[in-house]
Order: sequence, then C-alpha cells, then structure tokens
Amino acid sequence: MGDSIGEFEQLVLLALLRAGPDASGVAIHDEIVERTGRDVSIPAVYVTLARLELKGYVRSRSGEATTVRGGRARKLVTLTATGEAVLRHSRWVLERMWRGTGLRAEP
Amino acid sequence: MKRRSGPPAMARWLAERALPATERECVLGDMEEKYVALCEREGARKAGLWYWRQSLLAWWPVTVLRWPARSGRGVPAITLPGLWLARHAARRLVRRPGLSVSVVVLIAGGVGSVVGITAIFMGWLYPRIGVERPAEVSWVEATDSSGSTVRAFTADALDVLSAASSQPLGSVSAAGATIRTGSDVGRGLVGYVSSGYFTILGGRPAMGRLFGDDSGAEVVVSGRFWASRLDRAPDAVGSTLLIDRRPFTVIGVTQDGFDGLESSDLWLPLNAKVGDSWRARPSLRVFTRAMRSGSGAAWLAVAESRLALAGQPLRLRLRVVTSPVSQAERDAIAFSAWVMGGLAFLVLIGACAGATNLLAADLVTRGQEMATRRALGSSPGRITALVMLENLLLAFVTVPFAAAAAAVLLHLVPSWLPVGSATTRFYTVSAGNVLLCSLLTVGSVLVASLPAIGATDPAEGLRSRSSSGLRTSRAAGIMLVIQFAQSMVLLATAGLLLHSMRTVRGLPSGFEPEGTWLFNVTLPLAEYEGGMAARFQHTLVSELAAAPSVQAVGLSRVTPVIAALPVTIRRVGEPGAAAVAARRVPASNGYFTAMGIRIERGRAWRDDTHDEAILTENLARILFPAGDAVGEEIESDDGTRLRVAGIAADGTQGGVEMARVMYLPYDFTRAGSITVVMRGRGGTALDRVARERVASLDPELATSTLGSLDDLLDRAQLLQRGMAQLATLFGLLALAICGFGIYAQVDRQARGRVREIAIRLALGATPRLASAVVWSNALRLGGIGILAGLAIAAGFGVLLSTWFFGLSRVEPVILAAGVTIVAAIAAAGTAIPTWRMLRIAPARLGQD
Repeated sequence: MGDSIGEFEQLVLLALLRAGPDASGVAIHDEIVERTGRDVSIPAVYVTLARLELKGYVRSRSGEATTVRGGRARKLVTLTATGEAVLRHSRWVLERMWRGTGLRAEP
Repeated sequence: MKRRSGPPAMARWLAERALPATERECVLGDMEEKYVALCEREGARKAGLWYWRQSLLAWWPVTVLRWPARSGRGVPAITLPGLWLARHAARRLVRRPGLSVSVVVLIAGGVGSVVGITAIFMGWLYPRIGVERPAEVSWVEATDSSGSTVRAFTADALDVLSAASSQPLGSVSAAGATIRTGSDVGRGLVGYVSSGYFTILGGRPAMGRLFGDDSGAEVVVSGRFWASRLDRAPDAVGSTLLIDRRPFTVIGVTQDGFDGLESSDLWLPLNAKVGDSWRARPSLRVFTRAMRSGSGAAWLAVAESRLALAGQPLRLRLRVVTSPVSQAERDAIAFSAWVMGGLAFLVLIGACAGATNLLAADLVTRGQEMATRRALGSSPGRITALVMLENLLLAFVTVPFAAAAAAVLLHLVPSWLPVGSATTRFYTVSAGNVLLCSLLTVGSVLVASLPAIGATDPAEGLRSRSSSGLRTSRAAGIMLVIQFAQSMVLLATAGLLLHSMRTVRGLPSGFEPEGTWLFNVTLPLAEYEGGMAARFQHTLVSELAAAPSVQAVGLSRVTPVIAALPVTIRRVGEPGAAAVAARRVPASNGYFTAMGIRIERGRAWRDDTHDEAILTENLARILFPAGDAVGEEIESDDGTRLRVAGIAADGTQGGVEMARVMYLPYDFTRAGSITVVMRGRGGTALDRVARERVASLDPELATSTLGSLDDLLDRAQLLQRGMAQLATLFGLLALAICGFGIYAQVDRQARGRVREIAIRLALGATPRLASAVVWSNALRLGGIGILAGLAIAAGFGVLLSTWFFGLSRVEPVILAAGVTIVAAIAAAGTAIPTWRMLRIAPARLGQD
C-alpha cells in the first residue's frame, strides 16, 4: 500500500469507521468535533469526502429527504475496503514511527 | 427554546453560491439539520451565528482547497467563472512582470500625483477643524448698520444672545500669551472660553476634568500641548503653569485631536481675563451647534429685537464653520490649487495613455492565443471578461502603490508651501484619500484597457495579425500624440513658473538682507505700562547694540515682509486731494540701518520724534507728483498730521510691486508685540545674544525667532516656488512617461518589422535607409504631438501671464526649450530600439 492520506482525511475516514455504514455528513462532522474538539465546518468535511470518493476510499449514495433538512436529500457515505486498507496502513506507519520515541499520548 | 422559522436567508444564499451544484443539496441539508438541532439546544441566535460561520467557511474550499473535479462522475469542478478567471488573470500578470510593473508604475505615478495634490490643497484650503462633527457647528455673525460684517461680540451682547436662545451658545476669545512650563518659556495661543465651550464642541477630558461654571485660576491644556510642552507628563493635572506671569492650575487635558475652533494650545475660563475692560470690547466669537433652520431663524429674529432694544441694531446670521482659513487666503490659494490639480490630472492622462499603449501592444502579441481560445469554444464575452479581469486585478495591485506615491508627495510637498510645521499635520493619507486613490486607479486602468480591447478582435487574430495590429497601432499612435502634447504643456508650465519666480527674485526688495536677524518679543500690556515698556525697550536696544557681533538694532511694530498695517494718506491743505492706500510701519531710528533701508533724501528721525514720517519714493511721487515731498505735511486716516522728514528707497518688500510704505516714529511707551531687527555677524550668534539679553532683562518673556530677512523673503515666495517645483516634477514625470511610451511604441514596431528590415538590408539597403522606415513614423507622431502641445502650452501661457508676475503673453524661449527637450527625448526613445533592430536584423534573416 503506497497511498498516503492527510491528517484531516484520516480523521474523516476514522469518523466514518466509527459512525458505521451509510453515515451522514452531519454524523461524521459531529464525530470529529466531539472526539477531537476541533471546530471543523461541514463544507470542509464534504470537500474531503469528495476527494476520498475520487480516490475510491469511500462510496456514497443519496438518502431520503426530510422536512428537518428543508426537504433536501441526505448523502450517505460508506467506507470501502480500499479505504479500510488505507487506514490500516496509515496506522501501521504511524505506530512504527512512534515506537521507541518514549513520548506518551496527551490530550 | 423557541425555534426560528429557518436559517438566515442571506447566509444560505451565500453558501449556495459557494457550493458546487452536485454537493449543494446534501451540504445545505446537513447545515439546516444541524441548525435546527442547535436552535433547540442553544437558541436561535447562537444557531444563526453558527450557520453564518458555516456559510462563510463554505467559501474556503472554493478559494483555497478547491472542490475536486470528477470527470464523468457527475460531480464537476466548481464552476464559479469569476474565480476561475481571477486565478487565470493572476497567473497571466505574474508571467508578464515587465508589463505588469510598467503599468503599475505609470498608473501609480499618475494617480498618486492627482490624489497627493488634491489632499494637499484640500488640506490647505480646508484644514481639519479639531472639534466633534464640525459641520454642525455654526458661527453667529452679524451685519451692522453700515453693512460691515461683525464677527466678534461684547460680553453684554453675548448675554443678550444667550438669553434669547433655547440652544446653548459658546464663546471664545483667543489671544497669544507667554507660557512658562517649569524652566521652559514659550509663546502659545490661549482660548478664553465660556463654560459651555467643551460641551458644545465635543471636548472630553483625556485626563482630569474640564471647566465647571465656577472655574477660577484653572487651565485646560490640549492633548497637543500636553505632548509637546509637558512631555506627556502623567502628573500634569494638578501642576501649575505661569500664563502671562499669572499662576493657573492644570485641571485637565483634552482628548487627542481636539483643538477647539481656534486651534488653541490651552483654554482659560472667560473670567480669567484681566480687568473688566474687555467686556466692553467686541472680542468674543459666538457659536452654536445644530440649530435647525426654522428654530435658528426664530432665534435670530428674537435676538435681533433684543439687541436693538439694548442699543445694538445688528442683523444676525449663522455661518457654518468650514475652515479656519480666511476667505481672502482661500482666494489667494484657489488659483494655484486649480493649476496644480490640472497639471496633476495631465500627468494622469499621460499615464493612462502610456498604460493603454502597453496593454494594446500586449493584446497584439496575444492575438493568436485569443483566437485559439475562441476556436476552443470560449465566447467573445468570456475572452473580454478575461482581459478586463486581468486589468482589474492589475488595478487592485496598483492601488497600494498609488497610495504610496500620494504619501510620498504628501511628505515632500508641504515643505515647499508657505505653511508652518504646525499645519503640516493636516496632510495625512486619510480614508477619503485612499478611496479616491482606489477609484481613480481602477477607473484609470479600465479606461486604459478599453481601447486595447476594442482594437483586438480575437477571431481576426487566427486569420491574420495585420489588421488587428494596424488598429492597435493607430490607437497607440493617438495615445503617443497625447503623451507628447501633455509633456510639452507640463514642461512649458514649469518653465514659465520658474521664469516668473526668477523675475520676482530679481526685483529690489528695498532691504539689504545679508547679516540681518529678526525676532519677536511680546510685552504683556498689564505689566508694561508707560515707563516700564519704554525702559525695557531702550535698555534692550542699547544692550543688544553693545554686543560685540551686533552693528545696528531697530524696533518695529510690524514684522517686515509677512505682515502689514493698512493706512490711507492724503496731502494736507488740498481738500480735494485723493487718499492713497499704503502700509504703515512704526519704526525706531535704528530700524533703517538694521534693515539696510537707504534714505534717499532728507533724513531719518531721532527716537523722540512724534510728528514726522518717512515715505518710500513711489508713495512720495504719488502724493506729491509736482515736487519734492520732504518738508511737506500729510494726514493719515485717523486724522494725525505728519511732516515728511525723508524719502526711503523703493523696494517690493517681498511682494511683486513696489511697496507704498509710510514709516512712522516708534512709540517706546507702548507694550505689546515688538519686532526686533539686528544687523551683525552670524545668525545663530545673534539669536543667542537676543535670547540672553531678553532673559537677563525679564526671564518671563519669551522670544520667537523669525530668522534672517532672506528667510522671510523666501517664505513670501514659497507658494510660487512650490508651484514651480511641483510643475517641474510633473514635467519630468510626464517626460519620463513620454520617453517610455515612444520607446515601447517604436520597439514594438521595430520588432514587428525585423524581418522586413533584414530583407531590405540583404537586398542592399543602407542601415540609414532601413532605419528611416521606423524614424519616419516616430517623427510623424512626435511632430503632431509637439505641435498640439505647443498650441496648448501657448494658450496656457497666456492664462498664466495674467496671474503670475514677470511673464509676457508668449515666451518663445521657454516654448522652444520645451520643444527641444521633448524632441530630444523622442529621438532617444526612437534611436535605441532602432539601433537594436539594425543589430539583430541580419541574424534574424540567417535564422529564417
């Protein structure tokens, strides 16, 4: 696996992994905000999702339209097997890099 | 929590524009879903703010991150044509640094000149008034029964006006005073003000407090005075200042920028004025704020009737405070302002013409690119939009440079103008100037790009470059003619102004300025009455005269060159004799020697003379055309009869005409302002002697150095010199623009004809014959431009000759010099690219 992903792409993929299949943009956004404390914007999440979809790491489909969304359809996103593999590789790389540094994780 | 009906419509509209069509639904849906949840949890306000933030952040991917393009997958790249074009335009400008820098320099120079000159003259004509919302403040003025304007009122009249008004009235009486701060003694302007002064004008205390109704020996100092004379001392409030020897406690410092209506250094309450005699003198200027026309008229009518009952029949009026500069002073400056503004505008036109040339030339070289774009499906509108956007972007880049050019001019020019350093603080690059700069820059670049766009048809470019090139060449030729013409006009104007200035400088001043030194000292009236004043002045004269470096000392009540006391004189014994207007100069015996004024006939006076006068030659000639004036009797407008003791040599005394001056004996018993003239060696040495002697006689008196007579004569010509220098600067700028323009034009033409010239050379044409092709066109354009400029400059010269001294209606030498210089620049601008063309042409033929 030679592909590398950026930090924010990694966060989006991990949020998607946590939210499960057919996750909405809001769910991914909330997951990132809640777990990282970063004040990310919804459009930024969608730009990244569009890029990840181009790379084949996620796939999307249209969901149902609801009144609470002003009658607009939801976009449901699912992590692909390639995406999962990229995540695994990314973790392996990071763990190898961290190993032996002696630094402890801090919030 | 109550839920809002929906997210902010404007924010949603903004987000819609930023999002690509394929992502718009889902992103906006998510944002609305989240907004609803936030509304319920944290309220509509917070939710609204959150939505606004998201909408603004939606532009981030558009401008920086970019939405990814998906070919064939239904999610296209963001299609915001404006942004795409802007990015493309920016790239084009970076790839053509030569063109970009040239246009920026040209337009920034032109716009900077116009904005700088406008700011300087507007600042000069209408300096900032240091009060809050000055447009709402009006002076109360009146016309008396003789039709004269009354600007100041007595204290009794003020009481009547205040009683009739429902609005608060303020009053001020400004006077110079000697102010001691610690060991430092200096002169300053003191405003004696009523209790409502600060409230009406919006003065606030930055430190301490302002006056109350029962203020006594208290003083409020301006922020400017606090900074310059009190060194921003934090404990200034509570300290004591000696103002005309009387102690006053500082109770407050006004906010920065508050100078009052009269630009005072400090303010004292009205009741701090010495004695009660001032109450009967009309010395108070009265003002009010925001009186509506209806209530104002009603108040004026009531006040007029009450004043009439009090025995003061006046017709009152309100005049909005516009400028501390008097109308007469404004009138004197206005013509210069128009001339300079016009010249600056000419520079801008020349700069626009230069930029047009460059942009048009650039479009010719891009003809094939345009045609290719057209062939690939770009609409003509899109191509035009691309070009316009490139130029617009160039304009935005130019704005800061134009502002910088204006700032440089603002920094340079005030030192050439007849204003003291105290007023230069008005010349700043304000928000208004920057806005003017921006509008002019964008306008100029767009105007400059219009002919260029019109000259190039993209479709034409693919078929042939000749016709578009021809049209662009024609437009460029017209622009070049304009540049030649404006260079001629600016250079000729500069020459005329310099000539006028030299002529004025060559006139006899009537003085011998070398070795003179002047200073002012003011003796307070309250303490120097009669004998005291006489003793002080006699002692000062004898002590200064005894100093080793001093040869002569004289006293006067008027500062020569920069001030004058008007008087009208008639001959005694001839009832029908016409009164002659002249200047009155009370001067001591030593004044004539110290100033270097030659007594042509008769004699000077002794210092105890009271009923004699000395006239300048031209005044004596007007009063006594038939014979010698010496020994004759004259009468001034106040009824004083004087015998002519002597005739002084004529001189302009800083003006442009021979001054009519009547010298009167100096009254040593009077206090007040005195101008002391010393003749001796070494200006600074004389200044030190003056300060030491005055301080030894009275340490509480402040001296104001005026400098040498040469300095005063220079100051009298500052406006004309400043204008001449500015015109020269503009002329050189225009010349540079012109030289640059012809170089660019000839160079472009030469590059286009390299092949043709090479063939001509190969076929046996001499280099001279080959280069004649280029020269002929340059000569044609230059000739037309110079002739047009000559005609305009000649007309302008006639106009200037009516305003400036020493100019005849046509100045052939100056016009010829202008033609020569412009022609030389044109020749240089043509010769360089022609020479280069002749060098590269044979090699080019070899390549082909």
